[in-house]
Amino acid sequence: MNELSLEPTALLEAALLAAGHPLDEMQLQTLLGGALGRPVSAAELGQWIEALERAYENRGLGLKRVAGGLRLEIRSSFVQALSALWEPKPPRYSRALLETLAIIAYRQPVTRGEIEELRGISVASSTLRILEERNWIQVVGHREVPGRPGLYATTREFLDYFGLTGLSDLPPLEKLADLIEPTPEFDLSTLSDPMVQAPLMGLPDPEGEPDAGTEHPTVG
Amino acid sequence: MTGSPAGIPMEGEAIHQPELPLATVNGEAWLTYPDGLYIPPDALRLLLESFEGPLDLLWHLIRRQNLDVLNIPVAQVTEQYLHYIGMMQQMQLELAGEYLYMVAWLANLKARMLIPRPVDPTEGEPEDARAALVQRLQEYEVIRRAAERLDALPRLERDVWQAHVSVPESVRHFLPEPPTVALEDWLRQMARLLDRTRWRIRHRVVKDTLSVRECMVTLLEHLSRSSGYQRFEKLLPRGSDRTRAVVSFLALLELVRQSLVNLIQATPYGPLYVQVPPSSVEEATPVPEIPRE
Repeated sequence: MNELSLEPTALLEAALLAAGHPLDEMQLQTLLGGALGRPVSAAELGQWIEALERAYENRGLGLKRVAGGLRLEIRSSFVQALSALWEPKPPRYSRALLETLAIIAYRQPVTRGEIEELRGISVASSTLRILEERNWIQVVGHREVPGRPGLYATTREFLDYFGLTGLSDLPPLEKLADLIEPTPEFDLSTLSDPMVQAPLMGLPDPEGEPDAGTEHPTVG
Repeated sequence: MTGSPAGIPMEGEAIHQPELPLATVNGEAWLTYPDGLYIPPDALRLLLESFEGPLDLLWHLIRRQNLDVLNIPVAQVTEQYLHYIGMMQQMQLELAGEYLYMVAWLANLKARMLIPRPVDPTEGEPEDARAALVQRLQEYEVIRRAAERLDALPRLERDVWQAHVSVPESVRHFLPEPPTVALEDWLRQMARLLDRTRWRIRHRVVKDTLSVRECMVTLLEHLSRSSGYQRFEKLLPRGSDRTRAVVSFLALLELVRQSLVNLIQATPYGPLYVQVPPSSVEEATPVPEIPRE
């Protein structure tokens, strides 16, 4: 085999296919440099990556940048089309698990107690175990309070799995203000009316409900 | 705790329209709702179990009524909340403590809002419990939505597949793991390490070759030979080093603990004597119990 005929872009493609897991740029520089028998600069590698990306336009395969580096993946629309190949059974995750994962992802590092505080309900041990078994979360330290609870954080595997390049790549948290319909002052009196006329729950009308108004009857 | 969820008539509620039968079953007209038909127990169970905790249920109740989250009518919501909990009890669902806690919290909140509190000038702003509830609800909602978005992200296995050619396991170990560290970094670190070692004195811990058990046997033999009675200081073999002294002492402690020897001191601050109890002198050298080392 003629070493000199190695075309860098093709070599890059072959490396990503053979690895089967994301390769970061440092690994690729070393690997390609070793195969080509000369040092490979970051700029050079960048050009080859771009060339490969162009080559994969309009293909079932795509180049994806995740936290662990670059990977080749079957694009999502093709995955759906290929469901006839075998019956794909991707694992489904409960709301409890996803909410727990979201809290860890956005608020890390957090303790189990803090997760429970946010969700208002205890976290099942099985939930954390599944997350740890999937290698999505890990204990990165302990909070120096009584009991020294473990601090959970997400892993690179979590980012890779969800196709993220880093924590900053997570969908931005919605701001609290976006969740609240701004209620103009004059609307407040009418706000409680529909409920009083048509209580949805079939409950008896609470007479003289003082809470429906704006006033917080706090003295001070 | 009266009424029914979502306007569904509860069991036993009659409908006052006798001219229109509700249904005809086997030729028989039903004018009233039969007992227990309209809330299939399993459906309710599913409904209640679909809540992810008390905050989720509370949020559901508030949204359902199109209430402004900043203006929760606490009494009303509490009442509905209690209603749900009542249903849970009827269904004999395991009632999680968190739900009861939330009701207590809501009731407490309501009570505090009704009763004016004396203004304490030393305290700053009185804590607004409702604001705290609103904040918890909002924080939970932020997380709930974040979880939904997280779930919607294209992820491996479900949405995309990692592409790879299968390299047989048997040849995999020949594939070199590319080092992730640049050689020059490595060399620089090594140089620093070497530099540091010049200042380093090496301490070596050598495993103690003396056995406490062996020493116990020696001591016992020694005592038996000298008519079972010996001054403490004389027990130590001549020319013993510090280590042997310590091991002998440990052995002696172990012998005393096992009541194989007695320690005797005739006068305060006087000499210590070690004695083999009379009963064991006649016997051959007793084999001491092996202490856990």
